[in-house]
Amino acid sequence: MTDITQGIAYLPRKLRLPSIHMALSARIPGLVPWIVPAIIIALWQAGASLGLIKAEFLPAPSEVLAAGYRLTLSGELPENIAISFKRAISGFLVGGTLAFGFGLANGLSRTTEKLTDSTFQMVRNIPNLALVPLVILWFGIDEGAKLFLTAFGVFFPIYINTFHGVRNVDPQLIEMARSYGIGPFNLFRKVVLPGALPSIFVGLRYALGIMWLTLIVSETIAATSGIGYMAMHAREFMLVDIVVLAIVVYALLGKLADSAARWLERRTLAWNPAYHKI
Amino acid sequence: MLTFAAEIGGFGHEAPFIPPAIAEPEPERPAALEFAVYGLTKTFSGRNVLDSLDLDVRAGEFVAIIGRSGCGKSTFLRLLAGLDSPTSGIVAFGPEGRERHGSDVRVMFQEPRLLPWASIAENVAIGAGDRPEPETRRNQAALALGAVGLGDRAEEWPSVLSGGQKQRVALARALVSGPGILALDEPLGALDALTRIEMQGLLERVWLDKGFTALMVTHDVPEAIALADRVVLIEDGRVTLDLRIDLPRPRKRGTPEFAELEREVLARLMQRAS
Ligand SMILES: Nc1ncnc2c1ncn2[C@@H]1O[C@H](COP(=O)(O)OP(=O)(O)OP(=O)(O)O)[C@@H](O)[C@H]1O
Ligand SMILES: [Mg+2]
Repeated sequence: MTDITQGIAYLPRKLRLPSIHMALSARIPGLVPWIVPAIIIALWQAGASLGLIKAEFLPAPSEVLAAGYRLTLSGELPENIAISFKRAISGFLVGGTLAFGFGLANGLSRTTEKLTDSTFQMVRNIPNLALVPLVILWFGIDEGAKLFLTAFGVFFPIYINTFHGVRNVDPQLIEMARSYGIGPFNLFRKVVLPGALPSIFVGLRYALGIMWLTLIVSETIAATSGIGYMAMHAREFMLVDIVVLAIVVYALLGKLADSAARWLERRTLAWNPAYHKI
Repeated sequence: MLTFAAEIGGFGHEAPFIPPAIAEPEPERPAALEFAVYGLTKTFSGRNVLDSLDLDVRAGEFVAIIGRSGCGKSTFLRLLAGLDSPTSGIVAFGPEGRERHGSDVRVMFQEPRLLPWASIAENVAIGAGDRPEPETRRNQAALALGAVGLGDRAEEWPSVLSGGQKQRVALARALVSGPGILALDEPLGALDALTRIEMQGLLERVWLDKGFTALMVTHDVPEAIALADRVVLIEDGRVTLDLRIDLPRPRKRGTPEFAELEREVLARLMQRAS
């Protein structure tokens, strides 16, 4: 797992087109990743303005923007974003904390591994959205339903990657530290945890993706507020611009979460040559 | 991890290298330690890798261990350091033949085994174990890094070092622990010839300076003769040659006496091979 992780960490930097990247980033650093989205939006706008794309199916970016402006003024958009964000974070915190705790415990102790791991492996194979009907029966369309589904979805990627990260810490390093009389606490703090971090971050970023996915679906099915609800509600009234707006907002929130995780990853894994500045 | 980095952060700028004169006195460390091994046996899946091995090493002695690959040299060092336990036999330390204490034996492994996520200084400070407070750890690490000629690299990551430099950091780490006995398992095996000779010089200086008991596994007969007071050959799980090297230090390779000893040891090794 760790090897794969590091492989992933190494690859993208090397694979980026170096000449284009360098030529552009020399002049406008930070703008390169936005080129493709900008082109897509420009084409989309052009297509809509020329009447090639029907507004009933896909309104122009300008209309989506206008809808966004309108709903921001009315307070509807910020409120729904805040609600969705809060749901995402609380689900993530509950699921992530449990997963991290069990991942560490099972990575460090064969006893708790024997006790819980096979159960987790069984439950893991249930797609979390398959639980939606049951969860609605249990919680109705309360906050509990969203919290449960998000926490459930976030749990497994973090659990598995934490577990494998801890298990795959180089045993030679552990032996070295022990041979210098490093006790369990410092062994964990200085060797095991930093060694497991690259793998934990893979789980974290994967979990963030699942977090949004689960939230979108549960908000469209069982909610009376939030971005997903806003989109479903708009669909009933054929307000396509708001539906598209909701999708764009999800994309931006997802990107934000991923950027935050990357930033944290870079800061924490500065020792790893894969994260050194080019 | 973050607090850990912060703890040592800035250390390189505030105190790049503390000259021995101003540094706190080194904490008391165990003096060179003698040890004796009686009837040491280690069995792996029914095969006696070590078979009733006896060896007696004086305090401060430098002993080189040679022997063909797989004869049990590493196993012997691991048993001595308590990283593994013997099937039978006794390992006794000190003049009174007591059991091993935690800090008696330190091992310098064939691989540097540096923590890639800790700065070079913090890697060296690992050698101080859990106990000392941050201040002492830093000073000790700086001293030891200075001793191996890497005083100015304290704040860098290990990944930027060359193979020989990594081994020097590993040596500094072992020195910080103030070992009574330092067991070195082919520490220079992966180095090129020139770096190797430099490292041999460094090892000898450090050993003369600190006075620990040194036990070094090597495949290089000239290296054994250049450094050791005794060359010990392990064959069939026991000591079959124990040769005292009385050449004055610093030793010069290529003198007739040196060449004669080298021939003697090689002949003894070959005798078995044919
Ligand atoms: N943990 C183990 N389990 C089973 N067999 C082992 C183990 N450790 C060592 N051995 C066996 O013991 C024998 C001696 O191994 P050891 O590593 O001590 O050899 P060595 O003299 O250090 O060899 P080299 O010079 O190649 O490093 C080998 O045959 C090895 O396969
Ligand atoms: Mg060996």
